[in-house]
Amino acid sequence: MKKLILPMSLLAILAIVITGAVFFIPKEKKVNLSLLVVEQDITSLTRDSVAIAIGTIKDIIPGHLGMDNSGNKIVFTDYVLLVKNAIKGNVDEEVKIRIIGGSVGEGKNKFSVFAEDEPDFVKGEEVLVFLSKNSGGFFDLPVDYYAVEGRFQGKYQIVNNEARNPKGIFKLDKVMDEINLTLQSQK
Amino acid sequence: MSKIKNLIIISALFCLITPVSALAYSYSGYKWFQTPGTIRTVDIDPIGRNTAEELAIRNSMSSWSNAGAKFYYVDTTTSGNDFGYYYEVSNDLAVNRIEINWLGYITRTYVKVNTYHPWATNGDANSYDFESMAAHELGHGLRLLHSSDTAATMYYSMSRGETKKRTLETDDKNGIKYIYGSL
Repeated sequence: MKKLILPMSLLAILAIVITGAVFFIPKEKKVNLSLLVVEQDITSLTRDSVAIAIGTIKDIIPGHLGMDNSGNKIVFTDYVLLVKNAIKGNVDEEVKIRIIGGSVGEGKNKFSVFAEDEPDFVKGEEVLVFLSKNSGGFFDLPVDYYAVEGRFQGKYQIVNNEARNPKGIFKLDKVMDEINLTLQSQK
Repeated sequence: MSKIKNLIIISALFCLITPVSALAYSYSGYKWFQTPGTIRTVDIDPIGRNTAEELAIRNSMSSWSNAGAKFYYVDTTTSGNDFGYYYEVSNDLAVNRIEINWLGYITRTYVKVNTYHPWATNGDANSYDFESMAAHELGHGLRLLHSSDTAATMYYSMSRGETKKRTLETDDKNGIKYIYGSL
């Protein structure tokens, strides 16, 4: 009988550990999205966007759950842009931008979506953004919301008269000249 | 003796300043579950709109299966890891969706192709190459992210007529070997 005490104890400990793992470890589910996109420069971003604006990210509305057009769960994060300079299109003083990605729920009910190519916005940052009414086939964009044209390609952070995005750092004046030239050629 | 010492110092300095090949691939940290030391297989349903597209998907599966990693794509019909299609006027060409369980392992991958854009399997200069797209998206299916190497299959964008993504670059192969191990 004494010989069984040790193995039985080990089995009991193992059972407790497994039970703990099953019930108490957060069972977060995740979705990752990655896109293949058309390469876009300032000219094509200007041509294909419905609006272009410079402004400051005033507010971030954290992740909220939705469904994509295929009936799959998806998470969106919304940003409010306080427009300082509307370069193209009729945009309101405040513009709502919807981006795929974010988290909802807590613990075992947590659900996170990461979209590799979507731009990141930070509250208070000044941006030049090319706006779109297309959601990339994922969801129906509400009437008063915009997406970003060309995903990360269509968002530039403005710092010290420079326009910065993952493709490089550019003089803001040069970028604006290119935008204006494209807009004039479209008239 | 001092000559040998100098030689060692110069050799060490040379090694320090000699450029090494930089990593360009990017890995998300997630993978298909793989028992250590074994070869992982993942089923794919090569569903195309025609037989040429299905052949292109199969060719892309072979490219990744023959990359020298402990990973093979397997041709099936009922796995749910498949290709689908949608239409939207946008500059997105295709999207890969990966589902990850609470242990951090991939449970499903599927691709949606935007039919707004013209696709071809014959390298037509005015269309996007279907096989290049399939190779790129199946790389995401392994959970490689975008590479900063413009020649790599996993580079984030593609142009009309471009077929170079059909062939995996060293960077792409290094990526899959890093995740699943070399054969």
